[in-house]
Amino acid sequence: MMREEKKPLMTGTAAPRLDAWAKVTGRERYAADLYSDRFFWSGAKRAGIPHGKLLEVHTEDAKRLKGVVAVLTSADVAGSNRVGIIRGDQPVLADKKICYAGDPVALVIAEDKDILQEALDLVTFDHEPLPGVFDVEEALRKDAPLIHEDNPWGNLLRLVSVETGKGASAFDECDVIVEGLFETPFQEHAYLETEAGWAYLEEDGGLVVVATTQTPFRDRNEMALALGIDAEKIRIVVPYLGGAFGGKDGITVQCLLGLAALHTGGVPVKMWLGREESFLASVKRLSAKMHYRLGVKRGGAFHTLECKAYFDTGAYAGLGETVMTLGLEHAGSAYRIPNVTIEGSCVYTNNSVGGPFRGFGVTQVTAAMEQVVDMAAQRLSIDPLAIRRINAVEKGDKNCIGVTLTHSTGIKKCLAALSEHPLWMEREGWKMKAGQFKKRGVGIACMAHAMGYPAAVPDFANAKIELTMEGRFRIYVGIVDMGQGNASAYAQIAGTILNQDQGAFELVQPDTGRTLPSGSSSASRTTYVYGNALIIAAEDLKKRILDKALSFFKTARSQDIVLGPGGIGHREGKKKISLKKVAELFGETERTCKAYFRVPAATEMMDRIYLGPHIIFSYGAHLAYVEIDTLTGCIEVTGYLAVTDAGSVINPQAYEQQVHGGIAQGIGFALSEEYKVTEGRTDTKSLATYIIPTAMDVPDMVSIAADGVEETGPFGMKGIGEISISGPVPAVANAVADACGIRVPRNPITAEKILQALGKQNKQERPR
Amino acid sequence: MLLLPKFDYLEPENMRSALELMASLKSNAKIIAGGTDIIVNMKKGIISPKHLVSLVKVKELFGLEQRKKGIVIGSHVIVSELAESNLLWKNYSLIAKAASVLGSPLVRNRATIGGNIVTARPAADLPPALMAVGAKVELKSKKGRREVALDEFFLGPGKTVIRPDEILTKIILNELPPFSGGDYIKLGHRKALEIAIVAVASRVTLDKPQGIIKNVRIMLSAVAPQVIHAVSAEKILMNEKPTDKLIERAATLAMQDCRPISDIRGGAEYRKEIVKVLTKRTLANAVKEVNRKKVKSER
Repeated sequence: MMREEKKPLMTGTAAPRLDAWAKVTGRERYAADLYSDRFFWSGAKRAGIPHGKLLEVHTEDAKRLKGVVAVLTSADVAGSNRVGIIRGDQPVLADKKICYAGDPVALVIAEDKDILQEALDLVTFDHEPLPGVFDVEEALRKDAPLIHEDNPWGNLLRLVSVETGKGASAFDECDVIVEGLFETPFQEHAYLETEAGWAYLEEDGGLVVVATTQTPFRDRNEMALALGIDAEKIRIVVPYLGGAFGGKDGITVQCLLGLAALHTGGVPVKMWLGREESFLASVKRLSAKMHYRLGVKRGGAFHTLECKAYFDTGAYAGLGETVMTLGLEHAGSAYRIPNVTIEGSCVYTNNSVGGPFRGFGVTQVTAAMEQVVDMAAQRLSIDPLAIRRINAVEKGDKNCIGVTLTHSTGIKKCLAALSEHPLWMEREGWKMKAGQFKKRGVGIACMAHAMGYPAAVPDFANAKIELTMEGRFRIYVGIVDMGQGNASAYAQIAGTILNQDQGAFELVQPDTGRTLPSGSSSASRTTYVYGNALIIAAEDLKKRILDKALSFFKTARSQDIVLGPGGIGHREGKKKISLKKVAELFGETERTCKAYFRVPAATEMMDRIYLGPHIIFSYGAHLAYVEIDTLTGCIEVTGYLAVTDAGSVINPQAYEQQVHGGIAQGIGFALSEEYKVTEGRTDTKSLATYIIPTAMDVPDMVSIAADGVEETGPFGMKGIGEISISGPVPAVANAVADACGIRVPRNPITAEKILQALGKQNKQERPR
Repeated sequence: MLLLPKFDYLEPENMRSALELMASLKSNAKIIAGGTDIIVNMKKGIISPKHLVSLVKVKELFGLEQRKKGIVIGSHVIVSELAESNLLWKNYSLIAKAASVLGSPLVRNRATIGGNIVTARPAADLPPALMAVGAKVELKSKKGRREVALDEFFLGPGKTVIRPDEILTKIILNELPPFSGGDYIKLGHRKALEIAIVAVASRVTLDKPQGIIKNVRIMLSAVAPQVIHAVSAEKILMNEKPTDKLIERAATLAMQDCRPISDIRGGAEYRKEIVKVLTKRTLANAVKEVNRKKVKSER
């Protein structure tokens, strides 16, 4: 059947997601939705103490409980019992030490959830308490207790320093110097879907793990090493994720589930963390403490920047040092600064475990940098927009670590669009209309965000697309869709090339047994890297289909025939052939096309920064309207504008959703979100005390895509996933300063902190 | 995963058998209404009643009716019904307002007025508003019924005068004297789904429009183990004209009337400051409401 009435997909136009219907009707099956007639539950006994020597784990009582299948400890782990992609310093089950309260000391497998809970309560352990380390600067003291005794630098995981131009000595040449100490707290991802999975052994000994993860191929290798299994025997299947934001970039339940499945005699085993356990055990955005000093010339040109930062990676390395490094690479935001000194220390503590979170270190430094920019503008009596336009980078400029920007660089376009927007033009009038006891302010912030991995980590994808025997197209999605919609973008890209409607596509979600290795769902890379690979594969398949169809039309000129929704037609004749018929002409292997793509990477200045620099960046300029109640300190973000340069837009709807989501999450971080840990124990144990914004706390958000094309991107796009989260903290902080002349240097900017700052301000202003 | 402990679920057909049931089960039973509190506490293992008694079939508990002198609200009326009740907005706007800021739409569609009272949470939204208008509750048991003013109902966090065999059946709101007005303001970290850092409910009754205060109640919430009166603030307002200056003084006294603690939601000093601001604002709005009502009735 021809489906000519179907509208072919086209990049640049809005298209509903392929998963939309299944998700809104509740039919989509996530990793937590798997059950079978017979299966076991598994769960971890968490340490609950921040630091100690683990002496002995007592499992006898739990083992005696009826319905308990197994109680496992580190002694049952055959492999290295370590995970962590860079350092491998985190145990699957604690063996020698406990380094944070979420460390698992035992794994229980039981016939049902009730028995599991009862058994977990029966597991006890002996330990020798050790003094804890809870502050980054204290952790670096000589007498600080050591968390990883074998680390040659004590509690310092990594020191990264960058110097360009004359470094700090150039402060002598500056007319104005502004400085500040800024802090950002731990942030919890609070994804809707907590960590979950399902695992079983196949008859041939293969281990299948269905899990919610951003990194199936990497997980397979990590699991193999940690559990002592051949990687080839492990298959990881990843359904759609119910959110991740970086929190599932790596091992969460995978190793525990795999270990459990080795002890159930083939019975499938399930694990599903509750919210409190998810909060306790999962990684957090690294908290940061940042000393910033910016030197400026009289006309407003930035001349010198000094940034000294401490990032808290918590108990284990994870990706902490790469998070900090990416932050440091963006320490100067989107500006040209000839003389720079950057030093960052990534530090172990007994707090939570730090890890990736949308923004990946850039959100932290941007919060600081964009505030000192405003402070400089104020000192020089230059408009905050004007000072940004003076200093914004252009293609060909060097960024703050001295790397020349050779790709699309649209920050100036973003600022131009912002300057013409009514929210900017009409701000003064709006501010004047503040009611009694209200003050209004408007703040702006710029941001940049690198796309893909650093130069030393090859960033590639392998696309695979198949013409099915039914005449449809099946895309083997190599990169996890954690909710951002990249899988649907792949259909849109292939649909545009193959001139097919949405109904023609089937998506196979990542599966190490069926899809091809394409890296993680992270680093704002998913559509760029896999999309580029898919373009090659889809073009190849299109050519094959047309070539194969030539014989049917008895012509040798492929330009005479046209591939359209469901089939192929002749330019002149009415004769048509369905794709199903074409598929029958193919041999089994011919119907599938594969292609490899590697992201262009820096080839110079590889030693400038740890793992090498990035060369492709997205940019953004944000504006926030805030209103403050001067008697209660209550703050409301009443309006928001985001102008983004992420190249061309593939799906305007999905693009806007990414921007809106980033802003909402950023406003949460700016106003209320803080994962609080006191002496290694969590104060914000659940969503009752960890305050994420509701729809009522987020204003109408205007998203504008700055006109621009990234030449190397699929249909001209570049990364849109992370850029927008780095704007709200500084834009809101700058708006608060604009409204009432105070700075709250540590987010969240709560009503209480605002009122305290206003109180101090009143005391200072009172004549003596 | 948080799991529910095992329990028996009972659904008596009418009030009589419900009272029989409570008399026989005593402390082993808990009434489940909306379940927004009890289910959470059971999952957390804080309480584990052997029996949960649902009064879903006892129709008399679900009415919100105007009586000759006031309004009677069944204990199982859900919060969203209070928030949408014209009768309440007209006569006791502060209660409707308190209901409208409780939890989220989902919580409001399940939680009941009775549940919000008997759980005796220090930051519950409805009790301060109800106490500001002098609400009473009816408690029934097999042995009989009694009416208790909410002022005397709460004993501390989670503690009330209700006996294990008693059921809270209705909330009685006596008609307010003419020229009465009120307001409820809650301050939290976000606009919905939030527990108060501080909440204040105020109600004033004037002798005539623009007149002097004949009666006033200022209830402070989340600043003590239970809702408290701002005693000295109430005192200086009596028989005075509610000028801005007097309200300001009363607000300052209200701040001194409370001894809040610092916790994860807010510091003690901040809470005191907010008590002052909210006292001032609720009083001013309450007075405004009296005068606005007057204007309306003249039209």
